[in-house]
Amino acid sequence: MITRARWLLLFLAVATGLGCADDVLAGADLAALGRLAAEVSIDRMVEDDVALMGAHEGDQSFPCGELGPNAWTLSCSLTNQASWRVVEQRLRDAGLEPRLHRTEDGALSTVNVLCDLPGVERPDEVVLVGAHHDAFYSGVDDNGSGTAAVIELGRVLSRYRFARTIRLAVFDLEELGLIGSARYVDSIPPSETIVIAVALDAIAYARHEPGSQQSPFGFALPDVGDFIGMITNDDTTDRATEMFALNQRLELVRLEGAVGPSTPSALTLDLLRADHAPFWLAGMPAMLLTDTGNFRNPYYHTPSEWLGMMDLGLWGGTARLAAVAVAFWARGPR
Amino acid sequence: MSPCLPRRGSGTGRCGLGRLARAALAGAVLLSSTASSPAAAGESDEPTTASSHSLAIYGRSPGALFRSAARTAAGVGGGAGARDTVWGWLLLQADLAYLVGLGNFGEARLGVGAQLPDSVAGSYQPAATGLLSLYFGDQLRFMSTDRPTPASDPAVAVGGQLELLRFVAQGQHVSLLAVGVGAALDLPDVGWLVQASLIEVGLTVF
Repeated sequence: MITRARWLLLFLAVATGLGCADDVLAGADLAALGRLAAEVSIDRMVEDDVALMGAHEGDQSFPCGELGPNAWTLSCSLTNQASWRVVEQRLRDAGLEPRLHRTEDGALSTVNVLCDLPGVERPDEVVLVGAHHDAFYSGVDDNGSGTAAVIELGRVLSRYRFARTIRLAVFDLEELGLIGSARYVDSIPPSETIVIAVALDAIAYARHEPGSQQSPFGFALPDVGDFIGMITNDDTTDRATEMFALNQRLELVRLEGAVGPSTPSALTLDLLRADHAPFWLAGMPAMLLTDTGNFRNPYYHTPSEWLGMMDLGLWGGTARLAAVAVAFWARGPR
Repeated sequence: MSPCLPRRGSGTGRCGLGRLARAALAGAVLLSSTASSPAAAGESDEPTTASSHSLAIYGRSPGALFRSAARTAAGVGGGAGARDTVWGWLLLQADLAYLVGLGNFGEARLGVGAQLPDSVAGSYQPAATGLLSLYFGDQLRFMSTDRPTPASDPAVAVGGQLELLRFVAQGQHVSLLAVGVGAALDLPDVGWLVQASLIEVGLTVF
């Protein structure tokens, strides 16, 4: 009798566990998502990043003098004029139709590049994947890596149809205070619902030796900097759980996540350092994928960074994870 | 990513804390001197029955850092509680606090402890308390391959607290710089907890 009861409990536990796993990815066509992930090309992403690096290196620096005598010194190393043109052209080369979201504000004028893959059933529900095109120096990791991934996602995802609209968004002047993304969030019409916004910001730098990963206050990050970090908040917990489930089922990349409180505080400012933050502050679901930047990369925001330092496995795996998650949330691929 | 955001210096805060600590210390000294006055001595000489209860309410200024592989909760704030003193030395207490730091969160504690009876050192009555602590509300929660869903239940910890600068007299008590440590229970992981209370002041209600 006792043995029978134990078997019953075991069965219930397993059944409950399986049920939970199924619920997390309800409706997902994992085989199709896996095929979609395999279409993401690291070679094309490298080509895009090289083009972006060339644009930054040949660009006239940001007019930091117009910001006044107390302008942040590093801002004089920022470039953002040629990079948006590269993004626009690369998306056009992929057969897409990007549009520009411009805001005139003197030296802080911004050009965001937006591109929609319209949903076939619920076009007003938008799954956004974004990056920023402005960069200090050549910006190979921050944020050529994220921008190249968004362009590649445009190429791959545009081959399919989705119930919801997928929006590619490459923002301007993130480095000076999330200016482009904040202006974009302000422009979102009430008729649209942002299902989730995923920001890709510095996703290609990894280190494999112990002690290579630092942690912001309160974090419990692994000691080795070979993972991609996912930053979400309490409002996005379900999406975070789904991304973890997708990553585990498809075995794409080593993923570590942090779920911060929805209420920002002085101790959580490090969670707000990328283009997902304006969405959070507007009460919209958003998350960030990042290699954690200066908490791992000693060449962060320096001219010493070059393409050979990037970890193609981490970069490609992260882009594939983003592609799969965006496709899943957009109710596809079809 | 954007560069690190500038943080404000903490010089003003330290100055404020120092003033508060000095005021609290002065209060403790005053309480202590009152207790050693003839009138207070007369009160403390009253016989205590073996089964007597003495219920006090108190306010405290806690800080806590709960850290496990699954989450971090950290903050400072304010709270209040009630403590029953049985037989003059056994402490049974419960308190609630609201803390702000890594978000806004609550702390609930249940404790059993002992204080030095007044027959030993008069109004100087240090105490040691075992505590069960719960933290609920905002936390920084972590996900990994081993932990694919974020913790959703309140954080639980067991530990102890020492109040070495604690004075009781005339139905009032003050405790300065209480510190506690504990085990943060996110089983199977076990992390750590550090608690502190800059000042606690209380009043016996019956």
